[in-house]
Amino acid sequence: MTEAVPIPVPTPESAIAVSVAVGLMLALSAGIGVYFYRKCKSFDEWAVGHGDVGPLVTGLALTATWLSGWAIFGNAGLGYTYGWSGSWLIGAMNLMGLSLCVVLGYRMRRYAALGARTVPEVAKLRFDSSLVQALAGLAMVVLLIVYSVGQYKAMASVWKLTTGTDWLASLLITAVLCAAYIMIGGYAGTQFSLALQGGIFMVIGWAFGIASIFWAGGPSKIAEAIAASKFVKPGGVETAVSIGGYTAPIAPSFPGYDWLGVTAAMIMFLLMATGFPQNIARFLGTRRVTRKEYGVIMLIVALNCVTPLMVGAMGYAARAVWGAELMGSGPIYGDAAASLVSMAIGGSAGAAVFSMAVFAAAVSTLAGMVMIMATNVSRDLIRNGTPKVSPRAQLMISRLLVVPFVLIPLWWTYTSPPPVLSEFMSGSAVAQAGIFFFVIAVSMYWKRATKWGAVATIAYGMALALLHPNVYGKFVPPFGHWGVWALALMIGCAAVYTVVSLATKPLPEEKLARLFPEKG
Amino acid sequence: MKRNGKVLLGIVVLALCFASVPIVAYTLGGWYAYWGAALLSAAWATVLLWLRTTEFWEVD
Repeated sequence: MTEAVPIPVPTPESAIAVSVAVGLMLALSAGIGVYFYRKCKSFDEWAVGHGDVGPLVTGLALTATWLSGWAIFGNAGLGYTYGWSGSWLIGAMNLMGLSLCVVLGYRMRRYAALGARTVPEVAKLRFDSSLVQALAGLAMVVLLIVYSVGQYKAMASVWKLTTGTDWLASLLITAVLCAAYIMIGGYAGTQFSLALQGGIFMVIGWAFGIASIFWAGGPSKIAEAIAASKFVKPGGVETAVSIGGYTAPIAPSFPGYDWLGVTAAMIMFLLMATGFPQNIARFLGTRRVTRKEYGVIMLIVALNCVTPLMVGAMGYAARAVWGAELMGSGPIYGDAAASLVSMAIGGSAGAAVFSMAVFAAAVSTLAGMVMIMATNVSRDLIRNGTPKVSPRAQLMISRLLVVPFVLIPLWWTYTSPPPVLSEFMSGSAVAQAGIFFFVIAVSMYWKRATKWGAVATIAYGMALALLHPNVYGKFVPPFGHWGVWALALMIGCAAVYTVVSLATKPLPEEKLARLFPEKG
Repeated sequence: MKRNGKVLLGIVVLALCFASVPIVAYTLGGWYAYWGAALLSAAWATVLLWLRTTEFWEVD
C-alpha cells in the first residue's frame, strides 16, 4: 500500500444498508419459523421436529451452530490482536473437531427414536438416570450462558460499528430480534433457518476473506507486516512481544503463550465440536441417510469450516493496513477488524452484506443455545422432577424461558463486555469439550460407561471450570497457565470418566441391549 | 486389506494429520502453517468419512 487507508466510520447510508440487510435476513428466517410454527403442535415437535431433516439442511445447520459470532466476527479480532499465535483459537484445524462430531453425532438418531428430545435426555436414556439428566441440564445452562455473551458482543459490535447506534441500544435491538425469532420457531424453524444462515455466512465469509488478502496488498505483504508487529494491549499500550510466530509469550493465561497452551487449544478444538450440545442436537431430527448423503453432510461441513480461516485472514489484513490503531478504542478493540475491513472494501454495501453474515452466524448459534437452555429447564429439570406436567404446559414454559435466557447474557455483555471475544468464549468451550464429549458422545459408543462415571465427570469438569486462569486460577498455581488448566480439565474429565466407570457397575445387559443392538 | 488393518491405517493417518499441524507451524510458520492446517484437517475428515462409511456404517 502506498497511501494510508483511513479507518471507515459509520454513515447514514451504511446505517440504512445494514438495517435493511439484517432485517431482511431475520425476516426471512422468522418467516421460516412462522411456517413451522403452524405445523408445531406439541413439545416433541417443537423440540426435534418430525425426524425428517435431510443431509443438506443438517450439514448447513450444524455448521451454523458451530460457527458462531466467534468464527465470523471474533476470529478477525484474534488475528488482528495476536498475529499468527491467534490462529490456534481461530480454529485453523476446526474441521478435525466438526468432522468428528459428524461421525459420532449420527448415533443421536437412535436415542431420538427411543424418545429423547433433548441432549440430557440422551444421557438419561443411556444411564437410566434422572440424576444424570438433571446434572447435565444444569451444567449446560451455566456453560451456555457464558457462551451466549459472545454472540451478543458480536452482533451489538457490528451494529454499533456500522450504524453508529450506541452500545446499549445496539444490544437491546439485537436481543429483541433474537427473542422474537426463537420463540416463534422452535426446532424445525430453527433447523431450517440455521441452514439458511449457514449458507449465507459461508458465501460471504469466503468472499470477504479472499478479497481482504488482495485489498491488503497480497499474502506476502501481510506476512511481512505480521512478522514485524508487536503485541499491543487493549487500551493501546505496545509491548515488546512479537506476534510474528505461532506462539507469543504475552501472558500464561493466553492459549498461544507456549506449545503447552497450543496443545491444549488443539485438543479443545478436537473435542468441543462434539461436546457442544447445540451441535450434537442437530442430529436429533435428522432422517436416515445413505452413505452418499452422509458424504454430502461432510462436504458441507468441510467447506464451511474454512470460513473461520477466511475471517481470520481479514484480521491479518487489517493489521497489515492499519497497524495496531484499533487496539486503542474500547469496548470493541481489535474485534472491530472484520466489520471495518468489510466497509473499507465494499463501502455501505460491504458493511451491509458482512453485517448480515455476522448476524446470521451469531443468531443461529444463539438460537440453538437458547433452545437447548429452555428445554434443559422445561424438560430436564421441571418434567424430570414433575413427570405429570402436560406436553402443552412444557411447550409454553419452554417458549417463556426464551426470555430470561436471552436477557441474562445480555445483561452480562452490557455490564462487562469481554475485550477479546474468542479468547473469552474459549473458557466455556473447554468445559463443554471436557464434560459433554465424554458424558454424551463417548457414552453412546462405550457400553462400559456408567452413571457414576458421568456424574463424577460433570462434577469434576464444573469444579475445574472455576479454576480458569481469569477466574480463580490466577490464585491457584499452576492454573494461572491456560494450557495447564485446559489440559487438566479435558484430560482430567477423560480420566475421571474412565476410572469411575470402570470402578462402578454398568447397567444390566438387558437394558443396554436396545441402546447397543447386535449387528445383524 | 483386512478390516483391522484398514482401521489401524486410518488411525495412523489421523494421528499423523493431527501431529503435523504444530510441526508445520513450528518449522514453516506464516501462511503455510495457516492454510496447511486446513489441508491437514481436510485429509483428516476424508479419512474419518472413509472409516465411517466403509467400516463403521450404521443401519436402523
